[in-house]
Amino acid sequence: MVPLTKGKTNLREIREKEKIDISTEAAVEIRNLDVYYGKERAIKNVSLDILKKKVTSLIGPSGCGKSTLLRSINRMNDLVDGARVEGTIAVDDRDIYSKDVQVSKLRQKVGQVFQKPNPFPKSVYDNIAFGPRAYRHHLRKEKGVFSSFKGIFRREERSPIDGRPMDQVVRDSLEQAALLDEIEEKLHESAIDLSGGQQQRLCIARCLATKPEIILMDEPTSSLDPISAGRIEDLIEELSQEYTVLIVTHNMQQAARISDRTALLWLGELIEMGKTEALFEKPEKEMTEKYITGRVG
Amino acid sequence: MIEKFTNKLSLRILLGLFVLVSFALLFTFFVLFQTFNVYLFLVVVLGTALGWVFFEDSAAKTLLFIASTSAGTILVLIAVFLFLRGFPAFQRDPIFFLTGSEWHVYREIYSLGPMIWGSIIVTFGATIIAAPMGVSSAIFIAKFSPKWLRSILKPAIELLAGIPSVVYGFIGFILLNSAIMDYFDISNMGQYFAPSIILGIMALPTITSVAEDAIDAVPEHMEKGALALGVTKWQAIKEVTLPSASSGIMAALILGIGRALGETMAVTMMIGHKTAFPSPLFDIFDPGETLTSLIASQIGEASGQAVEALMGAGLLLFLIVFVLSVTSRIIQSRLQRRFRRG
Amino acid sequence: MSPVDENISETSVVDKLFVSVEGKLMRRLMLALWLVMGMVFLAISTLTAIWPNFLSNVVISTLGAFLLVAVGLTIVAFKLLKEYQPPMIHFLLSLFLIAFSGVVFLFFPNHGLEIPALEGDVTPQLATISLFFIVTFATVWTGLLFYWENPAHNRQLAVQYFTWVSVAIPLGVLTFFIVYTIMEGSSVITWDFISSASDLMRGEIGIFPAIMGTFSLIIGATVFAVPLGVGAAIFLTEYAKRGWIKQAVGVTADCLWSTPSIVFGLFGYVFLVPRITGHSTLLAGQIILAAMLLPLTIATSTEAITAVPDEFRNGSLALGASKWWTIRRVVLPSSVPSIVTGVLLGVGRIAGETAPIMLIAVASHTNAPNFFSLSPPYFHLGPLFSEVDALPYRLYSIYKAGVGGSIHEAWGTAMVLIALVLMFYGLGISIRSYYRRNRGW
Ligand SMILES: Nc1ncnc2c1ncn2[C@@H]1O[C@H](COP(=O)(O)OP(=O)(O)O)[C@@H](O)[C@H]1O
Ligand SMILES: [Mg+2]
Repeated sequence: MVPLTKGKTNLREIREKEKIDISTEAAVEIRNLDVYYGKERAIKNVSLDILKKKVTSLIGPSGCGKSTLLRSINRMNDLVDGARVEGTIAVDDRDIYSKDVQVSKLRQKVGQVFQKPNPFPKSVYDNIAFGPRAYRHHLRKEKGVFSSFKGIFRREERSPIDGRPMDQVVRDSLEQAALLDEIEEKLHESAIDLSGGQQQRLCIARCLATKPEIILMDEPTSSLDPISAGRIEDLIEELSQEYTVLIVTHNMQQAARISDRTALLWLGELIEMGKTEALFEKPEKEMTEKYITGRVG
Repeated sequence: MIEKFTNKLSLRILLGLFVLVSFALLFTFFVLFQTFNVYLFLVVVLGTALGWVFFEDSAAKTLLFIASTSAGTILVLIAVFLFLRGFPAFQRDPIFFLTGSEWHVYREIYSLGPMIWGSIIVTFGATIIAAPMGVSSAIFIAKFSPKWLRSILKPAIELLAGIPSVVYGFIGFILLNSAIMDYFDISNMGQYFAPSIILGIMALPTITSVAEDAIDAVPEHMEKGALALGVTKWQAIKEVTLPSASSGIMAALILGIGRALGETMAVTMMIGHKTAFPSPLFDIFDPGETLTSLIASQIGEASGQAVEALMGAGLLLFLIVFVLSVTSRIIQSRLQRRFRRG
Repeated sequence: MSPVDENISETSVVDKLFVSVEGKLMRRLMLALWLVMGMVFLAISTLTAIWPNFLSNVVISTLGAFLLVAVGLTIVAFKLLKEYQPPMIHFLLSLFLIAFSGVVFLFFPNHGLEIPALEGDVTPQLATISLFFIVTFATVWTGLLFYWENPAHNRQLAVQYFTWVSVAIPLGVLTFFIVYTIMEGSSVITWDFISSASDLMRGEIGIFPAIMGTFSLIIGATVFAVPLGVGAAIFLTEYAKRGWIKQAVGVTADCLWSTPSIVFGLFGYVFLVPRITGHSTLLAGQIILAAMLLPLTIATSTEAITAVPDEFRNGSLALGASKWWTIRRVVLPSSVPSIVTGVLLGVGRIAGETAPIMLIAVASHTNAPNFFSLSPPYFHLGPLFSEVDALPYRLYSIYKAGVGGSIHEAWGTAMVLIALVLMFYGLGISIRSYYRRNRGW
């Protein structure tokens, strides 16, 4: 594992400048990141810190690399043919692109919510239990083969992540995602039949069930109606008590409403990053001002 | 160093190699020495089970890889074994074997000339029937039929391919052969004509479904663009869709020809089994023989050189159909590439 | 192409007829006569060239030609009245003719149509065949007429009509085959016929062993082929990064799929038979049928797995699931219905294969393979290593022995075989359409 000490000094500056609580730490540290798709350079030398238990939003015109940046934090870019990442990203002081990182373990800790709700064609219950069940194979790697068979004869299924009964995990996750009341009776019905907003909250609940530390959201409300979008925004504010949230949005009002910090990307470059109010009220860069007043983009 | 070897990664690879080598040995013994080694088989099964328990992901990947080689393995085995058994027939006198005019089992004279000619006639006849009907029914299904009708027609065409060839042969024999005998007042039942008709019907679904796929694969916006200029749908199809799908349709025709050429039972049941050229050469009402029906009707009782000659016929058939299907594949993939780029 | 007649809708029917009589009707009649004469002449000369016996049948051909002219004239008459209507009348007319020939064929199987002009009877077969040719010529001819004579949108109708007919003909043949087989076969089908073996001493016939044999063959083939085929499809779609691996497997599967069935038989004969027992065995038949089923399974499974949306894969991977877990828990469950459909269609196809098993697996009038018994060890592998009977082979061996005496048995067997195939197809297609409607993506 490669500890990234370089990031710390930077963090001190941020704390001082943005007058943030001295105990705040960075959940993700990105240094000199370049992402290429074939020959095209989609992210150009971006360095930034995402602080723990804060909501950070990424804004910028479409095609500027927001999703790309997001996907490189949980290594979903590995799945794209021809994608290549240079520079370092550290989660919990570990370089996630070093060879000995278990990608699936990383993705369990860094959850993602997609633009289009994508519940599996299974029951609501199975959707939420999916992550914990998939975790069983990590146990095999970490604690030996037999640990993965432990408890298969037990009547009550337990989550291998924290050992709690699966029923409880499911209910807690749904509760956290503010969905339990609506679909308590429909736990064993197909998730495909839920409404769009419910599906998206189900996807958030599904992500919470794996006990992530960081949640990445790529325009989670853009395919929803305004009311469902509003509920998801409320939910995100709730979540920031416990989780680090990084949200990509094309909607500046949304960014202003829900995020603590905001970063503006432009053609793959980081233009400015700072406290949300500061960025929207007195931006440092001319570019930022132009963008938020709608004169470009 | 030692640490490295006890590392799980290496254990995994060692186990994998061990199982793979045992499997290769098992397979080699089976192919070369005609023995099925039960111990090796047990080793393979046990090793696989162990691998599955300890390294499920890698074991799965390896097994899937082996599965993906299975089709190729079978194809190679077919080619090699037909070659080994059939090549001697070619070796003796290749020109005579392919173009001579006699096949006499008792006099031990074997040449495939009449059968090759028979295959050509029958396949040609089948193509004349199947090609226009197949392509135009593909056009209907892809372009003219309403959606509900399409969802009935496609399975129905599939079903046409599903009716067993013995049944085609039997019905053809009972109805068509005697009808033709009556109608044309011929003294024999088996001719090239009757099986051609049945083969045409049998080759049709292949042509229809492949051509339909090709027509369907043409992006709709191309046709829409033409329609927006005010031409009729047929003009749009004729000027835009069909030219773009032409290579796919070509591939469909080639596959259909391959089907007709390789079809066995229907021909065997309807043809006259006379292993000589028809006279005159184009008399489609003479009894005759094709490559497939020759093999099907004679392999049961053949021995010695006759088996070799029949294997030679099989090899020839295999090679022709192989070339046909590779050609159609190349044409098809060219088509796909064009649309991906455009 | 003549120019569009713009104000045709404003003229009355009488006007139209009158105008037509002056101009179009004459042109059409000339064209029609010319076409008919041309075709008859062409047909006569071709047939005479390739078939020396022809002239004795000229009478029949002449009759055909007359009928052709009559039908053609009728159609022209109809067409003139319905100048710019869709050629519905053609559909109806040709449907009627096809139906008529079918009726003649089916319901007068023993009585010829007496036509005094001809010596002797016109058999139903003859009637059907002449009608078939007439319908074909008439449709082609009116189609061409319609195509050449009229503005663009009528050309479209002509083409539509022509393509419609070329779907209708094969499907008509299919329906005819099935109906005819059922009519001939249903009188033979009794419970005894299906559930017992033939008893040659008492002259009873039964195809139970053949049914069981066919089922053992296809079950074995499925057991061998499905894991391999689905596995290959998974490897190709989920693991194989490079295009050439996919290409290579695609090409080999294609070649395997189009390899003639008799070649599979030869291969089994030289490769499997000496390696198993030296004589025909059920196992050899199962393996060869599996080899034939394999490419179909690969193709349909590849298609089914590719159709699973990437969102599901990404959703699963983003939750920390491994690749294999994603495949097993998300990709495969979502594609199982389509895979099952593909396999069922493939099984329907290999169930009727005769050529490959003829040399390596079957013998007629063997006992039904019996894997189970009531006393220990309850389950035997013995039948795998002996011959079986199979439905398609039963049909073929009846044919070979001469259908004269056992024609009913043959039709009964054919009907059971068709029913079996229809069952697999019906099952497969209904699964597919059910899941198309309900899969939710
Ligand atoms: N899968 C991909 N393959 C190739 N290029 C891509 C891919 N995804 C994104 N890009 C390119 O990377 C750039 C950034 O895209 P993206 O991150 O999706 O932007 P955003 O989410 O801000 O709209 C775009 O120019 C886009 O063309
Ligand atoms: Mg995006």
